[in-house]
Amino acid sequence: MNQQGWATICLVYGLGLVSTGLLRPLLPTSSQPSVLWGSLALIWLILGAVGAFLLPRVWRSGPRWGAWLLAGLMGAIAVFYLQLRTPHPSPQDISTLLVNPPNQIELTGQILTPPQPNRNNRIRFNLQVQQVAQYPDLQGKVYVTLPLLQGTGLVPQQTVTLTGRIYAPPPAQNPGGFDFQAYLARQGIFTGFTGRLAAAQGETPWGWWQLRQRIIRSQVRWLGSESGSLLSSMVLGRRAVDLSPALRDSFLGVGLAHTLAASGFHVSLLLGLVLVFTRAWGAKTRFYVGGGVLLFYLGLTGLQPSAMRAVVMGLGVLLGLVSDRQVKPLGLLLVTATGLLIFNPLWIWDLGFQLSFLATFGLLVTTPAITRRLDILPLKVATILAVPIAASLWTFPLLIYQFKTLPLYSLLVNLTTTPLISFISLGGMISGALGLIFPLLGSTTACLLTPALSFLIQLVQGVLSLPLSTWNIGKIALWQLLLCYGAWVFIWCSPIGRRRWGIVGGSALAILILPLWYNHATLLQVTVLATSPQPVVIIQEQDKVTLLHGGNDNTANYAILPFFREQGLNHINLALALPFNNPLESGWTEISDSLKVRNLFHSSQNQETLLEQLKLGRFTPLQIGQRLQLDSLTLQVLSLEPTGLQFKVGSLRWLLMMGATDNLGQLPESDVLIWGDSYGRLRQRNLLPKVLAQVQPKAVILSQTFLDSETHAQLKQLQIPFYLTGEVGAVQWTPRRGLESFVQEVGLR
Amino acid sequence: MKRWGWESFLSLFLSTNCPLCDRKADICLCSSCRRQLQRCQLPASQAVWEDEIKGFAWGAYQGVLKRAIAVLKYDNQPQLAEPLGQWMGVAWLKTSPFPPPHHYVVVPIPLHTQRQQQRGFNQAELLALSFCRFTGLRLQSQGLKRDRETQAMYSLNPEERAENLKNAFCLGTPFQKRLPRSPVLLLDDIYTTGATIRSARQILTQAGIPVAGVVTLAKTSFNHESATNSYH
Repeated sequence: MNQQGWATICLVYGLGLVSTGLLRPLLPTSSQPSVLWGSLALIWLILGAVGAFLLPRVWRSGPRWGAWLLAGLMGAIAVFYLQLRTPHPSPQDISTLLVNPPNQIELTGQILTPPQPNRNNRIRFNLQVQQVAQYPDLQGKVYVTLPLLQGTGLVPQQTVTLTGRIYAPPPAQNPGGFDFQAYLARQGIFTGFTGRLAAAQGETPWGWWQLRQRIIRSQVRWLGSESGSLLSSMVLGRRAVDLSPALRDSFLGVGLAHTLAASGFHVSLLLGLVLVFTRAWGAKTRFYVGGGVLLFYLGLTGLQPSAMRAVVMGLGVLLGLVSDRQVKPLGLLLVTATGLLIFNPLWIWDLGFQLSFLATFGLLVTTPAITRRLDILPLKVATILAVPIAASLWTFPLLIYQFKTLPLYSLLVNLTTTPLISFISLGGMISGALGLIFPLLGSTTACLLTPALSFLIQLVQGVLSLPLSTWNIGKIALWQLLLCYGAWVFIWCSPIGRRRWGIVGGSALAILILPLWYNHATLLQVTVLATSPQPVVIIQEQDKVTLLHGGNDNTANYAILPFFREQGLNHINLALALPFNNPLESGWTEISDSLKVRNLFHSSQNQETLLEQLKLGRFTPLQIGQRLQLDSLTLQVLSLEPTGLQFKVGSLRWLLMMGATDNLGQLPESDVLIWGDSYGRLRQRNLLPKVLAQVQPKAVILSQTFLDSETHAQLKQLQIPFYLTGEVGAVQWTPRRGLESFVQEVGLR
Repeated sequence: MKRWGWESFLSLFLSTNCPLCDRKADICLCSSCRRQLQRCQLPASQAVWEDEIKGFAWGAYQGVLKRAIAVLKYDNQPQLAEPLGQWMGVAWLKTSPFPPPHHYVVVPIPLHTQRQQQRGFNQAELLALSFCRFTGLRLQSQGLKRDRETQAMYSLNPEERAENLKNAFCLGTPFQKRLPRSPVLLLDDIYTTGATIRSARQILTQAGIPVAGVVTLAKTSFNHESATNSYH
């Protein structure tokens, strides 16, 4: 087999893995998933056979028919291999207990991942369960969260005994929400666990964590925990370091996530140093020393895809050195990708893996072209500018697909900070190496970086506070993403594409943006998010957006803002602070940080100073009976205590009630009733027959997780369809499709 | 063959050196040697000749091409056969010197078993493999067999060559079992006096197999016979 044959086989193996993405929407509802896997594999075999028959006639100097046949077989093998490696709960998995979970359970197991704080300031890690008290047969992996104080000091490989309760990781309940269930399932985890240590921590085993800790401690000593852990993350990658979630999010938000990953920069630095110091030695010795250093670094960072990519490519360079042959970077990238995907095929869906390879690919193929176009600048400057541009060009479509947002100033930030970040990383590597030997020397070196680090942190915070620093684009479909990358590849390898790169690139962007724009122009939609106990309602009419209720900061961060990101909305025309008796919840701070709120209506008397601190635009107090109008939407305040609000969208009348009191006045008839709870004094939480009788709704949406049997029977008797958001997720209404629930919709898809 | 697979796998990410000039090569050859070699190609008018047998040659046996053939044969660089055979195919399809229908069976001139074992490969067979891949013609590498060890011919004059080759070939096993249905196209690396080809054709025609012509990589011009070669 020749070189092209090998390249084809490697490429088809990757494509075979990617093609399993086509099955993803089909699998959850399929009764016979193995038939789906089988047919996909068969399609690859057929493609291979057709290719073997046709392609050698058309592409005469290309791979032979045998290579095409083998490539088709490889595609089929890739499909089966991925299916084989996809984790499924075994019959003995601890998740089998979730059907009827015990109140209290005691687990003994080994810590798999470095324990790190989560956003709620609890320590999280994955645990390999070895023993479950009272259930001797059960095992499996669980996702554990512990109180901060109990979790600090735990290290990977340590054996711990925990007591607490297990829960099923929740799937996404709202459009744009995070699918925790799927996220854990990809790691072979089907159970969550929250609790505390049952016994004092035992002995800590030896491991890489000690070296890691030595470096981090020496860097944090005089830099302080913020700058120090930032420096360590820039050397070892953020997964190996307890970086504060807030700082991490700021770096992700401005498009500097790659600086917090161990990657090619670090490896080439290490390799360069090794090669300089071993100049006098023979090629073989240099290979072993260099390889040893790289593997040692990989041990420190952990087996993260980006670090592994860099290290494997570094080993390839060393192999070239020892055999006195130059490296072909693209070929090496392909071989590395194939190797890593054989090691773990599930990485094909790992964002870190995808970004790492796309960015490297972009650097290799697009940097020269951009450098040529920047020929008015000196070559060195042009290259420094071209590298971030090329990497951004190849990663931003995937970033939009994944996060639905675009860090608007990302390119600018990257262009300006590249020298600074290289300087800090270099200093950090030196300080880390010194810290391994003499911790105090490492601390001293790290200390010299203080001005650079604090400047970087301030720059990042400054950019984040700029308007639209993360611009919500909206959800794009897989086909849009693939077409966009197709256009990029076309520009790269076809002469026509190269000549007309402006037109091709422009049409690719149009493919990304136009469907979203068209959607906005024709939209009429009401969404009730699955947030209990109070509902959050978003009304969209073309590009006019109304938000009822801002929630607390958890609701804002995990339900409201993700929804706005998915819809590609960056503003709110009309916001109502609900419930009226407690209008200014913490959610508004979060919301006003990332969205432009043009008008906020509230019922609070003396909180104007607080409001002024928020970036909330105009804010106006509300009274009973007040009417608000936004295009065809009309809102009317029915009562402040309890919160009652009627609105009309098109011809549909909606009534939003948060609890009820006995002295409730007459409620107007409405088509849809949204029922939620309110804070404060004892109030009637259950839906009253009286309310139902007055409103005579055609459908009821309840912001609850459970429904009492009385109300259930009553709704059944009146034959009113109802949606329990705790069960079916968010509920959405559009004129064309009526009311639809999110979870069921996802299920049917 | 296994060694080849591994080597071509390595060459996916490690560049090879050009076997002719030892500089970094893209695919098999460096761009400068590739250009120089391609300049050796004969113009279409000279590529086809009519001796006692119709022939087609890709290039003139001189300069870089001569060196490339020597390196291929005596420096153990079999991978050179791939681009060379492919170029033969490209030119052959363009000039199409032989009348349709084009269902020829390509038979490379064989080496004696001992010689082939010594060298590890038969250059004509490798050229034919690459040529057939590109043109889509059928390859029968076992069509002829070399019976008798012959002397290397670069030091012989035409008469000695003919004598040297007398009864050197016989039919290979596949042709002994069944005669090919289509006319045969002989393929060799160099055409000098045509002695080899004549001898091979004689065997085939005796067996009743029509020989349409001969395809070679290089052809000497008959006038300068100073066939001294520094590559032994």
